[in-house]
Amino acid sequence: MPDIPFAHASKGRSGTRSALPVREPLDRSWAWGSATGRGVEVCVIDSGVEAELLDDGSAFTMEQRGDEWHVVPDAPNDTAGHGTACAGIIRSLAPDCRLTSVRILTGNLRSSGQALAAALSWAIQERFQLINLSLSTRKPDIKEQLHDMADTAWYSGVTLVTAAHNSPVISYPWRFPSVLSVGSHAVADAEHLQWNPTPPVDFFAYGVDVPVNWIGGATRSVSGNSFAAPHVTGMCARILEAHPKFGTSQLRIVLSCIADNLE
Amino acid sequence: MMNQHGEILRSTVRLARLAFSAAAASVFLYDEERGMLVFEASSGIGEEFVLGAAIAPDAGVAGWVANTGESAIIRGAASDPRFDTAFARGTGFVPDVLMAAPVEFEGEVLGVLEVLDPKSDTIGGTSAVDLLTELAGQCGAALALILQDRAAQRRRAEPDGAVERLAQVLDRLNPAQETAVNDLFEVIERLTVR
Repeated sequence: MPDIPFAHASKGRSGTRSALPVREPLDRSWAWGSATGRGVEVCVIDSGVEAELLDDGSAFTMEQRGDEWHVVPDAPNDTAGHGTACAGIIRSLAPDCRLTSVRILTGNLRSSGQALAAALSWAIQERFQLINLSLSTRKPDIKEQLHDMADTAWYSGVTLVTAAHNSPVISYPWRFPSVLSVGSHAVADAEHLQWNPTPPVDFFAYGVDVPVNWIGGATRSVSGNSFAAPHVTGMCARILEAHPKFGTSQLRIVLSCIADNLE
Repeated sequence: MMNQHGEILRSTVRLARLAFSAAAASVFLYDEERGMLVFEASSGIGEEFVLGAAIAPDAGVAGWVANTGESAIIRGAASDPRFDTAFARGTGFVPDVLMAAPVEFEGEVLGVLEVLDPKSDTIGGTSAVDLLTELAGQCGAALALILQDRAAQRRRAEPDGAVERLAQVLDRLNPAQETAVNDLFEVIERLTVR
């Protein structure tokens, strides 16, 4: 296995079919067939997304009023490039999904955790089927809020696809079992998926030297678990088009069954 | 204290640049009053141009790192004439590889450490991002101590502040009152100990 220069990455381990609750192997033609994510509602909570990747009226940002953060409509706008990269990955796998962006980078670093919590709460209330969170927080005062929200999402049919931290630290919400958490492998294949037999990371997806869209129509090569998570979001969008009634638990099982590292 | 503060930052960027054989390394700190990320120290190409420059904390790769506390590795900027960072604007130097890690302490981001064009992804078997993150973490811990000390000094120096008012009260005490006040202090210490 090639070296991966950050934490929560694949060690190249195999999973065993005997750990999965299905009698027959599932294949990708059953999981998604020719699905392109059509009609599946996906929310990207990140640095914003450039216009060409978004549907009309689907860009939002955070506004602070007193101590509270609110989600408000915005022109499509990405101030860092990160969100555009994630959205581009999702679109590459699920070109026909409906993408919405909530831009949560703020000028007030001391309340950035509250902005994240408010954005996530809004996205769950809006019942997006998939929420891509290629970020996490280490702030302890936000942990319980995020935990409750992750549980609410699970019960509401909203699946959070979250990136594990790039450093060997504990952060949230990717550590919660009610979300799908994603680390990186270095196999240059957007559809190569590894199931992790040793959680808390659930899956590994393509996250090293990934070619991505960037601000202003540019491209970059980027590395990090941030870019692995949207690959799983894209695959989930395909699965949800083919199987619209699936929630997080079903998606976790299907993804495990179609992983490339099962023996 | 200002000298120690500056020396920690200068040492951090020099060490980062040398460890990665990088073209340059810089550190931004978050200035809460201005709401900006400010270049506080830089080593290597362009170091004389960028000190004191400020960027919005929600812009660019540094803004991403500052907001999320995540490290980042971005390649391919040199081939893109639109690449835009405060560093590139100030120096004309456009790196091909940008590596950035949060300078943080106990979950609070104090700033961002960037390394431009590092020569290698691994240093003696340790991944570059891990090493950069550790370096940024050490810098954050040292800075946090200095910032705490600076806040304490500032509190003591305030002419109408609680410390000065308390000193004036103590100066007027007789021995019996002083014993009573010492007893009171003991109670306060017990109540406020973490």
